[in-house]
Amino acid sequence: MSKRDGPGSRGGGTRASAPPPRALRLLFFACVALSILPALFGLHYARGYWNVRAGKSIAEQRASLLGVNWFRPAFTSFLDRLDRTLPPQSRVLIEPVRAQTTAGRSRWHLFLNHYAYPHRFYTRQSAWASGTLVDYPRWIEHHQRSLGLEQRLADEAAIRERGIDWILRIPIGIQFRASQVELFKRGASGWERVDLAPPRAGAEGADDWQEPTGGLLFDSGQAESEPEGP
Amino acid sequence: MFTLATLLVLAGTFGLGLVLVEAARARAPTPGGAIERAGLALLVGLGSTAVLATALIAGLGPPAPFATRAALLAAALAGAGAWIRGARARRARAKSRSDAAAEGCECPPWTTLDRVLALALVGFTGFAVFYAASMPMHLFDPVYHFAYKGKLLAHEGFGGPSWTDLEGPIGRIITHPDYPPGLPALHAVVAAAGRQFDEDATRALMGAFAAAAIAVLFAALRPRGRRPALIGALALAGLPLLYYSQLPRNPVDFDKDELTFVSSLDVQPGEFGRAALALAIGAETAQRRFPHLGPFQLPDGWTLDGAGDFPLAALLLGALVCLTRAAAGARRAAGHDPEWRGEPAGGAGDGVLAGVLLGAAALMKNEGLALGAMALIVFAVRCVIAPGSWVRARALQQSGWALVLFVLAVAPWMVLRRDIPSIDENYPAAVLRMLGIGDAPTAGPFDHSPGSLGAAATRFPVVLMGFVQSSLNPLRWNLVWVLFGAVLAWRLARPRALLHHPLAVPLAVVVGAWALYALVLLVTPWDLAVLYTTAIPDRLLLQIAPVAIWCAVGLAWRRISPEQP
Repeated sequence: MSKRDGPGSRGGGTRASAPPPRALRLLFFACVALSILPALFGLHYARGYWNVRAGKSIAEQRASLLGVNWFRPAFTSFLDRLDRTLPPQSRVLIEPVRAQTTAGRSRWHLFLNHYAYPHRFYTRQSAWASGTLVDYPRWIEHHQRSLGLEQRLADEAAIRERGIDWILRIPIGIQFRASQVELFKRGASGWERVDLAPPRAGAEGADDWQEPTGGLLFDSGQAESEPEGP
Repeated sequence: MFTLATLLVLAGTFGLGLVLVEAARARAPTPGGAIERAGLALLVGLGSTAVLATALIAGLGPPAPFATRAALLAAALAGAGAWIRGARARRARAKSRSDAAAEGCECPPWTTLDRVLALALVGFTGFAVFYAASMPMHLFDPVYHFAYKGKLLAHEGFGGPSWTDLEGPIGRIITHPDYPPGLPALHAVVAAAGRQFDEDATRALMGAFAAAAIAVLFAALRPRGRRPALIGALALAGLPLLYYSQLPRNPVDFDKDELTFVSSLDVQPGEFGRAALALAIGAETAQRRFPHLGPFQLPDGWTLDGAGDFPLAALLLGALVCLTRAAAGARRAAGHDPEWRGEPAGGAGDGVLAGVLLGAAALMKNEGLALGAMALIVFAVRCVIAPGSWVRARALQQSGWALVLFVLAVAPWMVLRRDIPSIDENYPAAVLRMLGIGDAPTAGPFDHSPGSLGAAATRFPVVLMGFVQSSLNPLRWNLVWVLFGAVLAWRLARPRALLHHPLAVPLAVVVGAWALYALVLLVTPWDLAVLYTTAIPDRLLLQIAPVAIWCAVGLAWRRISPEQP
């Protein structure tokens, strides 16, 4: 039996294959050894999960993801109010207004489209609204500058054709301001402003948007588990 | 989250996979070990469920809860039966010869290092499953590109205005409408099993993709020895990009654009050090102790959140393992090539499995279609140049099976896709535009698609630097791509041997994929510097990372034929 076959031999102590040169072997072990960082990440993640999310409802767990703006109470509370205001499976035209940014996190029309389903949402130039960040500024620009009265009248036929009876005007910014959202319903004399259903008890202050402090993306609960010393 | 629906879908898909794998491997010269069969069954089950659900929803509409539950339960029971029958058959066969010897693997005693590697492998695999199941789906692509379409399939099916009403003055909203529906179909199956749509229940399936890929990779490398198999599987299980792409300290510079990208690149070792520090001690601890170095965030990433890149990677790995087995079966049957002798050998059944897996990969993301076609073409070319007419005929027959199943799997989606507009990233059209064929570029301040080959050439350094910047980042890849390059350079010293190596086809697919991704980036409408802030090209390279690890380890640990001293 050669040394390679022995229990302490390199390359797994098997005759099935010959190991690579030493330099390559070292590179392989360095590659595997670097996994220590993902392993430590795993430990921190598991501790954060245990401290904050374990045993909680999915809504509470989502709310702990501080950097995800469509899980913020201002938006989730608005979704609830909108759902209680609209008849089931309503068709709603979204109009972006007062755009302050074209950052990806301000695409509230996409967030509504998913989380307020099965209400059906429509927009003008929906290909741009649905496009990537490449197309998003174009869509905002269309509503800010190109959309005159003539175009609005021309769009009205398409709006009627699709059975759209609601219009939702959303201010575009990183923060979602439910108090600035306007909802209109098609009435006998045209589009009439409609108030949203009031917030549920306990959710009245949900419109107060506060950015997470310290650049935190997730609440890992470390602050509670390891309080600062005197 | 693991819900009852998730568990039922996992049991049903695993059962379906077991039935298919046991049937495909019933007559294979070497049926594979338990780890390989389990991993492959999970991949085949998840993949074929995505394929079947896509076809059924296309034909019959949204899945009915009762029928879905009954089908999953029946598949789980059938899988248990198939496993028991297969185990009996293998036991009977083992009386006449040792399967372990037939697989070319020997079982020397475990060393301390082997035990440490195995423990780390089990730990990472467990963490991948836990991580996928314990975090709510929360990133843009998984939610809006995939889960939303799952909601549509669960409630409306295909073909309605939700998919197609995009091109007039007023229309519906749907991001990347022509992204393939494999993952959305899985969302719809989970929704039907649970009687309500729950994207977090589907997220847990990402952990199954990870565990299955790790198992298949381990099994594919096992014939080269226990240690190379452990190293290869651990390289995948411990891959940082599996868990995060957004690092704890991520100095994203949105002000940079591709015109100034190359000249403004600078190496900042301190940034790596700060990110590594936060990974090591935790982002919040780093924030508290070193506030002047922050801000630090818990790292985060797309891979296990529900995007299609990793499922595509896992399915592609499974498909190429099966194709290589099929080729080895043809060669072994003809008694050719001593270097193939130790390779696990399959038969026509492995060709069938490869076709199913490639078809499923094509339904995960658009790149899967190109990668699947590339794999089949490379395999067919390899068959044609193989020595011996009998081997050629046998191998071509197996690639024929793979091609038939691949076409059958993707056909329903290809038919549906004709009615769905490509609204933003239409890469085939962009390539034609670059070549001066087809429509003129729409251009404008937001569209960076090149309108000519000359314009594309000016982008090439930016594309190249994007790849270099990504693949050399140890906080995303450890040293996987460095290793792949080093092993490839080492083996290129003997190009003839490399050409005839059993891993030549997977290797060619990895190299071809790099070329494909470079072409995609050359014609993308995005500003490349902005695109790089969204973990591109990392997410593209992830699609071939498991295959690249398989190739790197498999080429580095050279097989010794039994006659060799």
